[in-house]
Amino acid sequence: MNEQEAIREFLLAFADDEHLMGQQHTEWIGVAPFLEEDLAFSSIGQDELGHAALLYELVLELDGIEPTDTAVDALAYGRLSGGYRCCHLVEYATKNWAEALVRHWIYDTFEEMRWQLVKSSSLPELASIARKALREEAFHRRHADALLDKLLVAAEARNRILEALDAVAPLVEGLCEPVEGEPKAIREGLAAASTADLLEPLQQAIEERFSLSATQTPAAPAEGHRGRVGGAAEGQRGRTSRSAYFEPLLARMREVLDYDPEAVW
Amino acid sequence: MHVYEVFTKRDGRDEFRHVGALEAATDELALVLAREGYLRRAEGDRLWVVRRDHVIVADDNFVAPNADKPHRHHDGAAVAARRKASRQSQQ
Amino acid sequence: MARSWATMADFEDFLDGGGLVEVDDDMPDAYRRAVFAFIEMHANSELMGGLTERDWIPKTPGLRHKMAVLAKTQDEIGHGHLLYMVAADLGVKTRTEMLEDLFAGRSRFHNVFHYRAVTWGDQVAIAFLVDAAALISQQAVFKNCSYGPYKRILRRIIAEEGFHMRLGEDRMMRIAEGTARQRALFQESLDRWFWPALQLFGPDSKPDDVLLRWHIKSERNEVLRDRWVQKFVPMLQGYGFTIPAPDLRWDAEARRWDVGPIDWAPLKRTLAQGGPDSARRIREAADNWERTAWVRAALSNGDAAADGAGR
Repeated sequence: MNEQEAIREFLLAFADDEHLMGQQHTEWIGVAPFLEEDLAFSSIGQDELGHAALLYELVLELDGIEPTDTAVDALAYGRLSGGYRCCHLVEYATKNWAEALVRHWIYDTFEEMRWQLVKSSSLPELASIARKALREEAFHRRHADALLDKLLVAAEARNRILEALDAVAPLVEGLCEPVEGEPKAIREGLAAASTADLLEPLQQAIEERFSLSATQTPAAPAEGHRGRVGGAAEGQRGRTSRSAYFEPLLARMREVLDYDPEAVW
Repeated sequence: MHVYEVFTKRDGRDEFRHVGALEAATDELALVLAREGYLRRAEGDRLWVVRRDHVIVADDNFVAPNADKPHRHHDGAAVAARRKASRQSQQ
Repeated sequence: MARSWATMADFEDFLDGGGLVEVDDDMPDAYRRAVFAFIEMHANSELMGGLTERDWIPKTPGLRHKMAVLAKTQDEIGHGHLLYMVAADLGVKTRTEMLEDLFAGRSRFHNVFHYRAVTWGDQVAIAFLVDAAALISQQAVFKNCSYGPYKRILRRIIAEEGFHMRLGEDRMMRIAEGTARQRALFQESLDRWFWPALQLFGPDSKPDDVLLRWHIKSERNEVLRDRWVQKFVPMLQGYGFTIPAPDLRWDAEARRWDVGPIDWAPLKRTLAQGGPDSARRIREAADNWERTAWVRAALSNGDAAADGAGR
């Protein structure tokens, strides 16, 4: 893998994560727990898709392809599953809103740190996207925190959220796992450090956010919910492997595109 | 849950305007939800949310008498007529 | 209470003189109920419309396209939100009561949202034909609406519907200028959605319609329906699509399109919750509402929902 290929893979991992996270959020339009939340969550999904589009455009520019919407879509939807570099956390089909909220908080906490790593990137376009994204991320975190502040102090809600954390937590390590090309991309000045370095601060943030001591819980939580993360059997090994959730998700995204490959919609 | 009244304003233009209401459990949630409920196309640059039960409301009868103070509204037409008459008499 | 009227005749004089009723006014109960029922149905329709579109949003072909469609449906849900807040302030039902009535199948919403979008072509047909029909209705309400809080939020709703119209027309044109498969897909959607969209305006208004007398609506159903027909029939034909109306004819003398007799039976069935997709739509919405009850309970934290009632 040469420098250019390494940079490309590094950007693609970021773009694919953003793309699939935004895609997952679209599943909640109209069915969030209350109407105001519907509006907020939909906006967050739009932001993530927007980041993905900007990052895909950057990849296309590196490839020497004009970054039209059609070219962006070809890159976003047109690869075989082995060509994607997303993490399993964003592929996972959440079972309920608690899981969607917990994943939203974890993902956006990580994403904020990840944008920080590239805000002084040697690639000026990436640094500029980071500045735009960081302004939006502040809102995403604030949104998730405002909900969790209230939900984690209500007994039943707290149990549901910790149960959701148990389901999602094994996927946190994979979120931080870098692509093979990352070291070369870092040497080229693309990012300040490896996403692997974010695992520890992220785990600490998760412990603090969901720990029992951080909130005044009115009732004893169910046994076994301690919000520990990482190391589970279903955890990810490498960003080149796809989880069982990926193929159905890609098929869903491609359904209309596949209906008529010649069409422009 | 509380009902919050939402006010927005565009910089350099307008006074704060009431644009609607929403329900929220906390002040922080009210702000977060108001942004995407009322300003998602940047309809304003500033945002206030106020709990409805914190708004101090005047009784209508308290306000009404001031609708009947003609001496505070000098009639433009009457002044213009007098001005015209005055100019004519000066000529 | 701000203003009150001694008799219904006084109140109607006030309305005829262009008066705007405010939430605190001591409006006649019949007016309160009529305006509430009208806004509640509008709110329900916005929400159910969003749910109709929801099935296809994750499959939207294109990343930026998906963002635009998501923003559109977000607006529809947002309109529902604005309308439920305004309706709740009338004190007839709380917001929760309105939603629970809707999900229990006890409430009405527009006929078109009892149908299912079965292809992507349907999604475009909704954005183009149905949104246009809704916009024509809303503009007519806005023009002369006697209930102040409703009139004010309609200004925002109409502005946002303008974005949707342009999005829908843009997507329809891409299909019209697209491949044979795309055009065939949209023609099928037009066949499915033309009549339901036309019937959204309802049968001809009755002469004694209180909604007209009280300036809640400003124009008769048949006038609005005709406005839609005169605009969309030539437009769709211009793009080479066929209007699925066997008796369609151009009346050269009156210089207008006549779609022929309208069969109102499907509308009546649909509004009695017997529409093709009513049961599934309502059940799904009810299930989703039920599955997230714990969130609302935790956020209310035991206190009685304020719910907008009782200013």
